[in-house]
Amino acid sequence: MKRVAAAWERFWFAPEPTSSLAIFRIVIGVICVGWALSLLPDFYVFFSSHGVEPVPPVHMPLGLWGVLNIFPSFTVAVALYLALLVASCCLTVGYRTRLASVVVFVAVVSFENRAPSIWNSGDGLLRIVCFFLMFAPAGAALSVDRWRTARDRFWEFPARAPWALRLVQIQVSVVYLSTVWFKLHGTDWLHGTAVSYAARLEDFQRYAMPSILSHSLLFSTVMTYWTLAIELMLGILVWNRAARPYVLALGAGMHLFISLSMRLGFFSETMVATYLTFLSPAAATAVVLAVRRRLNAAGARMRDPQWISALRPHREREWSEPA
Amino acid sequence: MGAIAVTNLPAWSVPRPIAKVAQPYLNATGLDQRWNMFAPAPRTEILYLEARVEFADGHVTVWRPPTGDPLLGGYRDAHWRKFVEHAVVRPGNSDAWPQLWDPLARYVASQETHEGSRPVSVTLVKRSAFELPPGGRGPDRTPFREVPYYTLRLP
Repeated sequence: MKRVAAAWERFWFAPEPTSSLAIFRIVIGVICVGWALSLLPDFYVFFSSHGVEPVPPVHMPLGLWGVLNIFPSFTVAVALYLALLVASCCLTVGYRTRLASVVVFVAVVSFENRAPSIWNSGDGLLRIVCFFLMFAPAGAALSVDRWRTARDRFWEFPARAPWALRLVQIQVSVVYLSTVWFKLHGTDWLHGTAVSYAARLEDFQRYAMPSILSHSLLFSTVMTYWTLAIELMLGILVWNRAARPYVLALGAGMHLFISLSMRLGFFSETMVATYLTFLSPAAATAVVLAVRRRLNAAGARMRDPQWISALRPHREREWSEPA
Repeated sequence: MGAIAVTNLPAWSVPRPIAKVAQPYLNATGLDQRWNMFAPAPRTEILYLEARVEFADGHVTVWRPPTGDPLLGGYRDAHWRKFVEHAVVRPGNSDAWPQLWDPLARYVASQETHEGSRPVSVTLVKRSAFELPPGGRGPDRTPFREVPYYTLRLP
């Protein structure tokens, strides 16, 4: 019993370097910027009183809330949008990270509850990830916050309890197990025709799959069962250290296929971003330091006097040509 | 973690009182979730929405939701694709929201109103076709059918 308790304590609270969390925060920040920009072309149509959803839903289920449900004016929507955009940029660079993550979450929830007809599962996933990010020490490393408080140790990754990151990991696992559960209740998934039907929904297509594949029963059967297998593996084997890299690589491949073939917004991007939480702190630190070494080397090359002088004759020749 | 469990476990496995108590908290935290994309079965009906706008002089224009380029426009389009799923009539489908019809028709009317020409009616039309099972020798879907399902008369 003591061992179980110790393992539980270690899983949630044993401090570990914040390198994977920092990378995860940066990627989610970029996705939030993209998410906000994707709303811009139709912002007036979706969030003004002259658009397709002129008023917020009247009968909100208990607990649902949103700034725009309390203050439905378009001016507030614009202010919230600007706040979302700025906060997403702050989240990306890690400036006032905690505050930025709260603003992003409040804005995402508010927009989603103001016009509920335009969102898909990807938007819901982003909302959930933003919720967990509020509680994580996301600005502890690779951030402006870190630069301001410990400039000389910027490239170090202070250890923190990973419980918020663990919640994201569990969420990832649950997404896949849950979707497999739902799919196993449908005959199309059991008969192997589901991928063909999904791929031929031309109103959803991004880049159409050749019909020789999408209309092939053999291809569909293989891809349908392969999808179920990958999702099941992602739900279970992602917890196995040895299998994890392979399972995540398969998942990333699957989501690349989905992203290229369907217009599903940021679903695949957010899903793959959550995989970063499974990156071990050691691997994440190694990646970050490798990038730093490359940046340093590139910077040194730029400052190298030989490199500058090597350019000079060419420039002089270019400049002298017109004469 | 309890919230994630309650919202994702099959309905029969969570006692109703617990689910009832948990739901407002799930709503408030934004943790309410349901991962049934393309499940239990993917949609097999290809859905398009058109709005036919009739003017006083009898001429008719057609409005369609915007469609962008596949690469970057795809992110914007996802909102419209989802909106169309909710805004077209789909008998027996809980994803169809009739409360969207009137505001949509009014929005289209406002877009099509120009100096000297005002719409007198806007009709929402569903254009749809059903996919046929894969592997057949013939076409892979039925012909498109148009179903006008809502008309807004304007003064």
